[in-house]
Amino acid sequence: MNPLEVSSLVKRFGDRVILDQVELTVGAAEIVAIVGESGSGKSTLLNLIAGLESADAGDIRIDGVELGSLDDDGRTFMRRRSVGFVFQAFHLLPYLDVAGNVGLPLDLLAWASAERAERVAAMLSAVGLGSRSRARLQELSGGEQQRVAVARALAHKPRLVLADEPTGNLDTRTAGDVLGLLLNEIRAAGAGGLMVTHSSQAARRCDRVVQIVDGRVLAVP
Amino acid sequence: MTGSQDANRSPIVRLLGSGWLRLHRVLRLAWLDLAAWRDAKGRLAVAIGVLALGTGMGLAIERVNAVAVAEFQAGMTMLSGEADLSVRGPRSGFTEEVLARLVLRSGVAAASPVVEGVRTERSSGLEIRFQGVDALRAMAVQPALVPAVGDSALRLTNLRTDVVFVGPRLLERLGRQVGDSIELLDVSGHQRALEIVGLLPGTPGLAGAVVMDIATAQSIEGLEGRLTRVDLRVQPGVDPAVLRSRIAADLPSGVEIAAPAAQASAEAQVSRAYRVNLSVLALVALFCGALLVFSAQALQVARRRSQFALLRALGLTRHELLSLQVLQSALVGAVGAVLGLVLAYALAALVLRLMGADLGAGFFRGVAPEVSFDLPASLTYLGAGIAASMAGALLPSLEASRTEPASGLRPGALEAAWKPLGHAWPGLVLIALAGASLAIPAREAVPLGGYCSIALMLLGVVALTPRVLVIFLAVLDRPFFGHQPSPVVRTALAQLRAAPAGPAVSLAAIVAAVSLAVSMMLMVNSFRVSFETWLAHILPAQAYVGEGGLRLSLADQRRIAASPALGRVEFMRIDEVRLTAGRPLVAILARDIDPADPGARLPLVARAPAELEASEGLLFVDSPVAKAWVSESVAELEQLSPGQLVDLPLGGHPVRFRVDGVWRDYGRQQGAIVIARSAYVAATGDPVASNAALWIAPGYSFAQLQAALAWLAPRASVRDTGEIRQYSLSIFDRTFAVTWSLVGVAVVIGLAALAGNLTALVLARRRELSVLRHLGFTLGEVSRMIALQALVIVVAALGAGMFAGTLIGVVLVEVVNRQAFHWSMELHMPWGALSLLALAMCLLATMTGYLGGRGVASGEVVRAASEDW
Repeated sequence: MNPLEVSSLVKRFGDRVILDQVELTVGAAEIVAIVGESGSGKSTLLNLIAGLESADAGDIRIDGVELGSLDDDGRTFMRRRSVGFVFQAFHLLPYLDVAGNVGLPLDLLAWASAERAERVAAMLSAVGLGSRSRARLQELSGGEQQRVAVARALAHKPRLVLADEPTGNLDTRTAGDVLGLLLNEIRAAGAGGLMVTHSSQAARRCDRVVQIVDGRVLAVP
Repeated sequence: MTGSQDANRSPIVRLLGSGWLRLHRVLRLAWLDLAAWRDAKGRLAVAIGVLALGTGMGLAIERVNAVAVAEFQAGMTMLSGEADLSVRGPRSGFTEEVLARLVLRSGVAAASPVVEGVRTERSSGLEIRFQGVDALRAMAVQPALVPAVGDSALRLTNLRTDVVFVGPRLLERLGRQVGDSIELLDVSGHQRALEIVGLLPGTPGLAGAVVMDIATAQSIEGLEGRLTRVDLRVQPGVDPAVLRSRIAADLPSGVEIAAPAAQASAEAQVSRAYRVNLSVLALVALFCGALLVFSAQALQVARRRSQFALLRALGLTRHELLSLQVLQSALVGAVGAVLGLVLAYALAALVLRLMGADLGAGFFRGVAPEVSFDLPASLTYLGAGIAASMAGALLPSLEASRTEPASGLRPGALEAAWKPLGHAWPGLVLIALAGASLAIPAREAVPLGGYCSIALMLLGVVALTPRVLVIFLAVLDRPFFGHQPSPVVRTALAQLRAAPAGPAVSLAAIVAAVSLAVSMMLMVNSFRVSFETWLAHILPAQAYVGEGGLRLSLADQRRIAASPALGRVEFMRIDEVRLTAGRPLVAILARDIDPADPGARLPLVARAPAELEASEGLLFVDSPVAKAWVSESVAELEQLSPGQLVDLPLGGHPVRFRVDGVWRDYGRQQGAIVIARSAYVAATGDPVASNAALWIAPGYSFAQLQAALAWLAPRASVRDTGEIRQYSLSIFDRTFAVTWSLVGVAVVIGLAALAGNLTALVLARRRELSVLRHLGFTLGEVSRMIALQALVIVVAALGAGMFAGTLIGVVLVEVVNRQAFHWSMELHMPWGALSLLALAMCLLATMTGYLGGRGVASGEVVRAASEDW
């Protein structure tokens, strides 16, 4: 079962068609980059996949479950279980320490304490922050904060990871490191990944690149 | 202007020029920066509203008090006309022989006798303060009281005994015209219809007065052959002060002489403590307004920290940034204060109409002033409103101006900036100072130390609030009965623990409002419960006879006592004496009392030692000294304690008593002394009683007792004790209506501050809540999380507020009331009302948090974290 299947997706704002008959599939351990000009509909597509907006027509299936059949709580539980997020601005919770941020999705899924601690430790170790689990966010650099975000996105073993310009706020060298880490971790977890990026260099490191033009998704060779 | 032109100007002109430019720039920036408040409209509106309320209530109370006192004093001085000196006696007056002696005394040019009284007008129910004058003598001293002086026809009417002259304002309130009548109930219980034959001048003091012939006034008050006042004009060349001291030496005991203005001032002084107390309580509302501005400004500074850093980076100086913020808060204060001024005059007019000039407290009976605009008072309160706003904004503005451009742009800098708020020592020092200031003595019955202590206590607890919140959160940071709390609870508490500054800052106004409400509730409840207990003690009989200056002759008393429906009767005579010149009259309650067991009739708070009583027989073998029981205010004002001797001016000469005890009297603030009626009759020869306490004989009902004493009508009626208690309690409640309205204001301020600040806090966390929703928190979970945080915040605020409120309440009861009103009371916590307040605040907080969280975490806002997608 594919982590993400989008078919015949249509989204309009008034008379304006934002997304028109979009077809998109992300397979397990596959990472798809979405590129496109500002206002092309990238954000709308991610909002629809995240269940934050409703489509006018078409289906979105995450791990085989049709989002349209779920109410708000149902879509929330779907995000909780099956989706991980990485944002451009990190969006870590400043009042939690590193381990608290990474463990939060596990808390929501009511993982047992011992398993939670083991998983958090494993994820932090994977992103190279094994020794910083009790650190406050203010003590971390931007790159380190985005590593925490990557660990958080994958901690609960999601089927799909949505990443929004995950390296947009980082310098070139750190961006390369973090991107490599993110892609590796998604692939290692066997999850699907969908990454919005303006960087052709980042897009090239993904398995597939699609471009949104006039509301339609075109494959980029 | 070129540089050379500028250089040619004098340094002063250049300095002024550069000052103006700087001011202009700051004003322009302040104006532009006002747009930033668009996002905080609600908080701003609440702060403006509370400032308006504080200014309005303060000024309204000041205006009502000022016009009441002015009218009262003007009345006293105007009614004394051109008199240089006034001789005043107690309520029972003094004999006309005093007038005869005064007329013959050298240095006196003219003497005008007066009988004053207060009676209720039958149809309107208004209390009428009247003056009875001798028209012919009054022309020489008080020509304004003889309005018909130039009219021969009316001059004749001045000599009639069934007519009155009425001030135009009172005439309007009565809804009468010249030619109509007013009806007053005299001491014998007869209605006296008096025709209104003319108007007094509409000048202050006379516009609400009633003047009649002295014989009419004497017969209404039952003071035939007696006077209550004689106004004197001094012959040219005679020093009034010298004449005063000469006359004073010859006056009967209990009669004093002073300049009319001094007497008016002394009489008005009686209500001073009450007026000051109300004004102080009203100003606390302004203080809450300042704290609301503090909260609003602090949250605004927190939210705009990066903007301020940017402005600093762009070249705005520290001082200019501070000026910018303070100017804005001055504008906020000005808007609030101007609204407050409008509110004040409307409120004052309403209060005067509904509650009277004394705000329901019973002072200034028969005085009916009108609200007048007063520029200095209005400007003072306008300034106070602006100053309160600026003071509230000062700390956050200073913090904003200290923002380093680089650090301000970094996340998490806010918590570091507000870290000093978490220190306990400033709050503890303020509370210690509050305790120390209780040692400051009262000044002219104004408890300066008490008020100072209350202000410091409020500031101290507000300063301690962040620490209280941190401690409270630490207490919550442990497993509940061995269970780990849910992620919702953990996340909620973790967020509060990591960033307590915002909530703590927003708590200031809530804590102050809760403190104020709790303290006043505690004070009023303690007073009311003590008052009820006092009533039960002071009214032991089943029924009473005697109101409005009733005079029961010896024959009346015998007839009452002979009634078969009566099991027991105790008579009491009420008189008034002046113990010390310049002080108000003290009531003498001469009653049937068992000297061996005064506690059966009086709520004693202190008693002379038993050894003293035993030794009394040895000390006064020939003439044992009668006992007197002084009320707390007499004990305080006259420095009397059990065992001491006191001379009471009775029957025109001093009679010595020994103070046997001190009793609690809530009925007469100026003081009362209880003596045995036999002692009074022995001293004065006057056996008349003013009222009677009645016990129904076994087998008889109250209705039968009423029927048996029906012959007393219309002079008096038999009243059931329960009815009297209810009536007394209704007067008590009316007296405290203003205090309760202040409690209401405090609660509204607290709730408004709570709702406003919680909403602001939730909105400030919009993006963070969106992240939680992305991570899988349901809408319900986010809403519950915010509701829980709101509950935690409000519980901390309630804890701090109730603690401070209780301490302030204790200061009000034990210090302010004792020093201002000289009466004691037991502390009675109003548990029911406090629980309701706590419940209301918890419910409101939870609801506001839940709905606020739901509103923010749903709909478009949920995408706040992904706005950059």
